[in-house]
Amino acid sequence: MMDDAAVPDDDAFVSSTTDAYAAPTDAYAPPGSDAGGTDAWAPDAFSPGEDFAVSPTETRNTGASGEIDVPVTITDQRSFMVVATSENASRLSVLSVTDPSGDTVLRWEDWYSGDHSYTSAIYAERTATTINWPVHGDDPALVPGTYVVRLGSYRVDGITSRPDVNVDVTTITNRDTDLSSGVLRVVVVWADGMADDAALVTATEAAVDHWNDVWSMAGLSVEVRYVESTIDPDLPYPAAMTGDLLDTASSFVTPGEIAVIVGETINSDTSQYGVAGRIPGPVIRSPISAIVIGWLANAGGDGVFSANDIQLYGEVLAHEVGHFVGLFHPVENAFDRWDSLSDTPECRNAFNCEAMLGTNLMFPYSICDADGCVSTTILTNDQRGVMHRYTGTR
Amino acid sequence: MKATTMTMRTTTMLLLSLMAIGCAGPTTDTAPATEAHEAQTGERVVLSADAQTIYERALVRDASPPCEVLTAGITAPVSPLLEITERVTSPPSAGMRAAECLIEGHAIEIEIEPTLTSWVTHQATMGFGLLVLDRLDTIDPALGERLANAALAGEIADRARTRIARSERHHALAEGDVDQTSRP
Repeated sequence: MMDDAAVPDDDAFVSSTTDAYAAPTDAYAPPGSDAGGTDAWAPDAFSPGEDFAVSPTETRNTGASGEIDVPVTITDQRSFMVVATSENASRLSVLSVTDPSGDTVLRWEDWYSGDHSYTSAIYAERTATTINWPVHGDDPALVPGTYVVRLGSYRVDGITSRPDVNVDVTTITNRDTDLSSGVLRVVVVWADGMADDAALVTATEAAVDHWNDVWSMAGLSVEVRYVESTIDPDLPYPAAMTGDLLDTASSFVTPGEIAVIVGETINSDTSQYGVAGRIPGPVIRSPISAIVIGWLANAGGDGVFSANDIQLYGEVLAHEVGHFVGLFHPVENAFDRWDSLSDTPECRNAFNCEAMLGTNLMFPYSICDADGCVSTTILTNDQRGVMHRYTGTR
Repeated sequence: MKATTMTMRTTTMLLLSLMAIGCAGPTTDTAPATEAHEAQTGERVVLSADAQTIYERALVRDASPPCEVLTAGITAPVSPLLEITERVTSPPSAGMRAAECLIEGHAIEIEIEPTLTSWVTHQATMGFGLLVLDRLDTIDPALGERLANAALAGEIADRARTRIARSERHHALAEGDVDQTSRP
């Protein structure tokens, strides 16, 4: 256990930009709302009849306990999402979710140290966190009443409680109960100069078509629009401390859309296909609200997208956004950690895992042979259930 | 937070940190053979043992393993890394990850410069060439200047110019304002 003397000064890690995260503007708040209250947010009161509703953002303080309770009132919604962002470098995590009867339906202790991945919300690794509830089909469906999400604030070690932190909290709900079909709205944000490359634009659009084909087998489609930006095409890795890049990118989205940044490379030290900001990620602007894609790694050494490259590129998009809507790898690279879904087998070596899961969209590595790479397009029923329960899926 | 739960957090945070920096590829003791796809002919290619090891580690999706993980246990990584860039196209990221490691850790080695120069001057290796140019500021300044000049005189000059213009050290070359005192 680290004592305070060993913990680095959290504020030393705050971005040099004084306003690294700006709470959503009043444009997000329905007329007449009280953004400063601490009562449970009732989506029906603000967005009657709307399938998708976003609360006004409230600022709450974690006080001496270093924890806050966020109440969410449910009538007939099928999922909700709570997005929390700290005012400084404090790390945030979800500690529990309690249902209207007072039962704890999510407890961080049940998942934190185990060998199954459930949601990254319980790990205090970032200055923002988000919980989507329910996570998957084994979780109880929402019932009318008030749910309570408990959040904690921590120092940069992610372990030591940091009290008295202001946290901006936004709640989103979705009442679309059709879990067989849905649409995810995506904004592809071109990093500086990328949109000028006609071949890249063509390849990306073709890759998006393949992504749609893959997701359509799960009853999902993506609606994509494209915007240009001045973001540096050498993108930082999303786990970078400040989150400025992701926050900037997600400023291009309206609530309910997610941002996919297409740059040239990711991070000055690595060559990567693409990385999701969080599992799941928020559907509103925040420091963890984007997926980053490096086009060069997807094109390869010749810098040209072949038909095979485009197919793989499309599966990269489908895979990374799959993470963003809540999917983990069914098994991790060392074959000693699995997702929490019932219908993804718990294999324990490469031979068996590749045989059972090698064609799964979320398999952790590419399987390539003389004919190229195995196409990864399969999603299990439980994986589809996670995707359809994602609050951003309409 | 109670002490016992904080201990659990400590252990698991360390585990997650290790995962976050990039897991190595599949363990090879029970891994079936994964065969590289020949860059030129589409024929099955058999890589050297070291190249095969690096190749399999480079197959992970999401976070790329750091170069020290990709080449762990390999005493002379330059040759197998070059081999991958020359002979592998599937997946496209495998060659790029190998190239990245060459640039990051070995660019200054004398035997690498002809390869880097070739990459930045030929259309056929444009991807590698753009990667070099994106990393100019991490390369020895004199070498970086030679590569930038070579790129501006080569087959990908137009694309090279925009990358060189982003370089803090060498942007002036792209603007045609060469500092004579910087030449070796």
